[in-house]
Amino acid sequence: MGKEFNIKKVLLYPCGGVGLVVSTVTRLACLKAVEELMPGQLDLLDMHRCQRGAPDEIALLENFPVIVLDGCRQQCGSYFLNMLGIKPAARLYTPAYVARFKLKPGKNRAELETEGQQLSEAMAQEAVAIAQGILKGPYPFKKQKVRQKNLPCCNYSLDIEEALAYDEVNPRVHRPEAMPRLPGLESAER
Amino acid sequence: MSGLNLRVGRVVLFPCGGLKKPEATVVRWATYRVNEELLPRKTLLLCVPAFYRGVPEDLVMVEKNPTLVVDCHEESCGSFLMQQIGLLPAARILLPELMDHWGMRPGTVRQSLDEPARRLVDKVAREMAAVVESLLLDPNYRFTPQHLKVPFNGKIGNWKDNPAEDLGYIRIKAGLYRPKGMPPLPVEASKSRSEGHN
Repeated sequence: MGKEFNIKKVLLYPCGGVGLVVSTVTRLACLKAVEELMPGQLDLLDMHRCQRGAPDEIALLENFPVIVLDGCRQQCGSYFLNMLGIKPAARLYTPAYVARFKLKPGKNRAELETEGQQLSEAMAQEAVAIAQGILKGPYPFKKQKVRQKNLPCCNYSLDIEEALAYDEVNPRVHRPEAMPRLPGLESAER
Repeated sequence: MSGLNLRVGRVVLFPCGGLKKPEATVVRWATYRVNEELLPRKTLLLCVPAFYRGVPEDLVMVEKNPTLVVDCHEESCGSFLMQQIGLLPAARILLPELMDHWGMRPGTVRQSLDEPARRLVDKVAREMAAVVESLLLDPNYRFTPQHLKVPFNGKIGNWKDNPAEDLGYIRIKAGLYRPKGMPPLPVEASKSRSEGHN
């Protein structure tokens, strides 16, 4: 990581799965935040285009902090970023929102039912609060570099929370130890 | 390919999984329609993030069953994954070609879909189901299981590469392709039979 930069926007990265409803929860949370809650200050990260090598997508990932929303205990979103050598600014963990708000994702994977929508709204609100804190600062972000080769794919035994050295900010939000504290969410002192 | 030739029991659906284009939402919804309503218990869904994570069921499904990739754009992110892992899909649907063929567009809404996009979902789902059903029902279609070597070291794609070219796709009809290294699709046999009659 190199010198610090002013941050113009924050990226949101939903886990991107298709099999479970929680993936739809994270996807909708990100779309809602980007399109309705903080338009112009947030952007979406599309992992499929990253992997494909789309230069604009890689540039986003290297130049801006990213908040990842993991849908389930597999934590594929965090794994993918780690695979690319990128540390997220923060990680939101959907099962913890389910527990905290007593909201079920539901069964409809295409269109969420009411509780699933409320769950995604809760995640969107917290993602926005984190992003606002980062943009307001102080947040000493340093650009990162996407690893292009030797990506450790399909290593199921890897403990991703350990690999990224996640610290608990609150029961729903984690941050890699090596990344800056989240303004507004974390006190200056540990 | 050599090895066991098996009748197809299930087909893996692999929607491109993108996020930014409404087309990706169309493809995802169409996939759910096939999986839940049109051909229940006959398809499996490939979850790309879970695949990269190494979730065993996601690895096994693409080895043991034929895969239908649906690319929502010429960027061909779905096909690229197959190319990267060294497995060939049984077939590929390219959404933009279908949309041109039908004169339909996906709209601009990503969180949900508007009415025209829902009609498009319906048509795409039926197109996907037709391909899947043909693989399941044709007694002459045989699939040879493929093998992944995991974990493996992947790489970021070269944006200038063309996965469709690298996979050797043959165009069967508007929006439908198969790699030249894979068995002909049942629709090809019926097409050549009908051409023979004319």
